[in-house]
Amino acid sequence: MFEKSLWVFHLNSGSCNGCDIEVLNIFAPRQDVERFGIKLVGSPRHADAIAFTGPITRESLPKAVEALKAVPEPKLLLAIGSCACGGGIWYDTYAVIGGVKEFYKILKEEYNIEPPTTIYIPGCPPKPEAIIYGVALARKAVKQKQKKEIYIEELNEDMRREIAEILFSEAKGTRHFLPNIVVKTKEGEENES
Amino acid sequence: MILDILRKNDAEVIRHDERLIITSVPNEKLEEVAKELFSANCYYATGVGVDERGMSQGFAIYHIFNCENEGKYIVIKTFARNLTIPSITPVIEGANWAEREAMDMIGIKFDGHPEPERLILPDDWPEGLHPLRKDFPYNKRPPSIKPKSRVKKKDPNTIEVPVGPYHPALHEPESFELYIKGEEIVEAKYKGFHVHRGMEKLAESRMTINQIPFLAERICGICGFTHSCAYCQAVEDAAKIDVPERALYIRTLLLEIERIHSHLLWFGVVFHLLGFESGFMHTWRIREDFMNLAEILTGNRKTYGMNLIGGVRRAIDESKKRKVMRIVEGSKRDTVEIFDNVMGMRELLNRMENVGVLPKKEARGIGVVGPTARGSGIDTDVRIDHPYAAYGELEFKVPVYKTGDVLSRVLVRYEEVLESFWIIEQVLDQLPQGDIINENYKIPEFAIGLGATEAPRGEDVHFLITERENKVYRWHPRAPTYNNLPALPIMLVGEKLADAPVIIGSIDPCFSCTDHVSIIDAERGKILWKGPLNEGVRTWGG
Amino acid sequence: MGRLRLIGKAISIGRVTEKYPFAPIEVPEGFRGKPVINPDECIGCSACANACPPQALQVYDDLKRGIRVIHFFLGRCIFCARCQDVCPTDAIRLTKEFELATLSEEDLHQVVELQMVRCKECGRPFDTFRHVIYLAKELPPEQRTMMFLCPECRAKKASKIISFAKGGGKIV
Repeated sequence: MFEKSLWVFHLNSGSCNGCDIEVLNIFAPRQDVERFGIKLVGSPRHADAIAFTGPITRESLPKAVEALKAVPEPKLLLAIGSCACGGGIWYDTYAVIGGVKEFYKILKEEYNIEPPTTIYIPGCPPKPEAIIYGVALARKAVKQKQKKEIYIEELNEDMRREIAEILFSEAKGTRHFLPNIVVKTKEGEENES
Repeated sequence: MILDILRKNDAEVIRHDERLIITSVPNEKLEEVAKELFSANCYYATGVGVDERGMSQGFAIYHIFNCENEGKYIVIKTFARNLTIPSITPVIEGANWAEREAMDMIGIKFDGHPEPERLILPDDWPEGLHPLRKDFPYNKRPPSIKPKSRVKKKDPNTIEVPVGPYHPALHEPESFELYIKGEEIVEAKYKGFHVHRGMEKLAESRMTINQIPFLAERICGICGFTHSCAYCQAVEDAAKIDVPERALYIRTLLLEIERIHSHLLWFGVVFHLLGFESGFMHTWRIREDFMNLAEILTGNRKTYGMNLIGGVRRAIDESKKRKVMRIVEGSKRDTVEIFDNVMGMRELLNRMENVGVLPKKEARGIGVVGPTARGSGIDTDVRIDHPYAAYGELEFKVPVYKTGDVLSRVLVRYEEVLESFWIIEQVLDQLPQGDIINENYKIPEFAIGLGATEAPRGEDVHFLITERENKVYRWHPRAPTYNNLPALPIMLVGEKLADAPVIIGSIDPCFSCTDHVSIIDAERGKILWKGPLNEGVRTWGG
Repeated sequence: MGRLRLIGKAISIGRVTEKYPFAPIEVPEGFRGKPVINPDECIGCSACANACPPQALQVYDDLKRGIRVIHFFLGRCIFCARCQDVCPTDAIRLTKEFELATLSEEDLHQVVELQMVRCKECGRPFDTFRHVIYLAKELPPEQRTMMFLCPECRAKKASKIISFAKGGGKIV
């Protein structure tokens, strides 16, 4: 079981309700997270964690800040869905702040509040099991699977040789009506960077 | 008959076919035409303000009427002179919000409008900046300004109960003020549009015409596929694209699965609001099978992502058909059993009978749609009046009850779920062979299209003007809750405070459908029924 | 009595709760999970970035270093699978992964960097090696002569050839 219970306050900052219905779904009989001691509370003052959905619309920004301030420390913020993690499909419109990263910038600059510990749960909407996985990660019951990946291609001779081969192996047999061009290209091939 | 009205008033017909008539009338005749259309039993669907400086001349507004008797949509267009258009709100109450929306987003002034106040844009948005004008970039974020404070008169005998935007009983941010005397509600105010995300502007700027189905699906997480179908239908109507039959049947199947899951969700929420938690658990248990079904058919539990212009993306093979049949049969038995039990519980019925009554006349005047209208005796359903997808070839009934209270809306939705099971069986039996998508189409420039579907909450209308190079010039989705919200004050006033959650829940409000573009000020009351309000709500609630 | 029958029904249905997270759950075929770019197959054509509605896939060129960067941000992905539809080499595919929660936003990125070919005339990098090779295989041999020029130089060359063919000017 998870080490401790978690009381969650659900905060919708302008989402389409897909993620919110999935948050409610985890209390339905199929997933039933109440057996882990997770429950939804009515007041942010009673909460340990905030289930945050939505890309933070301009209208709901001051209200979301107030609700966030009301949650006592130490708090945990679950950024659920693609709108909360990165701003979603409308991350740059005039009416939207754009995800928790931008929200934390505003919190720091205008209200001088440090960002809370955050768990990012991508998905549109994430499966209820994915949300349970996120909570289990917060409680250190599972290991994180998703890691940053970088691939860098190295410049090498094979690439240039392959290009030269394709260009000239077939062109040799054909009669091109502007042989100058072909020759020039062949020379230029060697000088290629 | 409609054509006579139009000809009498100097209307110039732009397009006329079996589904849609588009005309242009001069300013002076607008009110007359609106009045006569309303008396001819056409109710007001929506109004769209368009910045046509790139197309023709100046600014225009398109008023859309739904004529069920003749099975057509009538679109009346008129241009603004000096940015002013006569308002039709004194004649048709349903046009109130549509005109306020055009005022906010385009900057047209409406002569004679009774309450020309800001509707959609946030409180801290500066005056004079209209986002839907073509010279406003979609990602410009003007600095905040201090909002004007609203002066409220205080009656010493009434108590104001602010509820929201963040409240234990609400899943969406919305804010209500209920004015009560003793236990009875005397007035209800709603301040909404917390979910305005600027979708219409986004669709005109960064998105291409085939990316918008994905945007439309995220208007609402519960009825998303309906919006995506309505959008694709609007484009297919504007460009006269032939969709293959198999794709239409697949769309119908998914639309009905969405209707079932939405109604079961609603039953769970209403039972929860009444305090009947077992009912919530049982209905969501049954609903889970349909979510798994959607995952098997489309790859995701919600936001199916199946629509593209001209058809659908995935086919259904025999093994999937068998799974669908098995789940539908099992759930039918389950649902009927649960509901027989529930309808036998006298204490539940007492809380729903004669509560939140909406009389038929008021319902028609406002233009409510969907189960809210069918519970008040109005026989309206887009699937029968303006058939789309495969509904024209299927047999099904539309339940109508005349009492207009919460119980009648519950019964309407329950029978719709049973009809949906029957429709799915027909679709699977008659599923034709063939292609699933038609990608050979050309989209003409500045063509107008209208797509309408019956969402679980009512009629959903999408208005569209295309542009060259794969883009859209203007897109306006009008969600059903937009038309249903103004009915709330009528239903709430005079009722007891403790009944307010059920009444509000009975119209099945979906705020994110409503808030896509503009701010809607609806008077909505949500009562506090769980304990003292926290400070966060008090500082800015109301 | 409705309530007693409901209790009986609940008992007869029995336990429906899944054992997740203590036992894995299966997802159906065709489930739209996390998209993964296969770096060996990607040619850097940026068709996926054009099709992506939330711009979670972004492709930009670093002209100084001569590389093209394909940047995928999982946080903004809407799992619509349009990138999978349009990719010409099947390099990006949606897997069945749905356990994607992370403790830091950094972990939600995947970056692929590909080397770019420089134009023979002006020296500006204009396309990746892999893309040029892919296109060269599609074109007939006569049309491969201008493959190492950037679009501007190619247009200039083409106009010279056309004017030469019509009898004016010289090709140098």
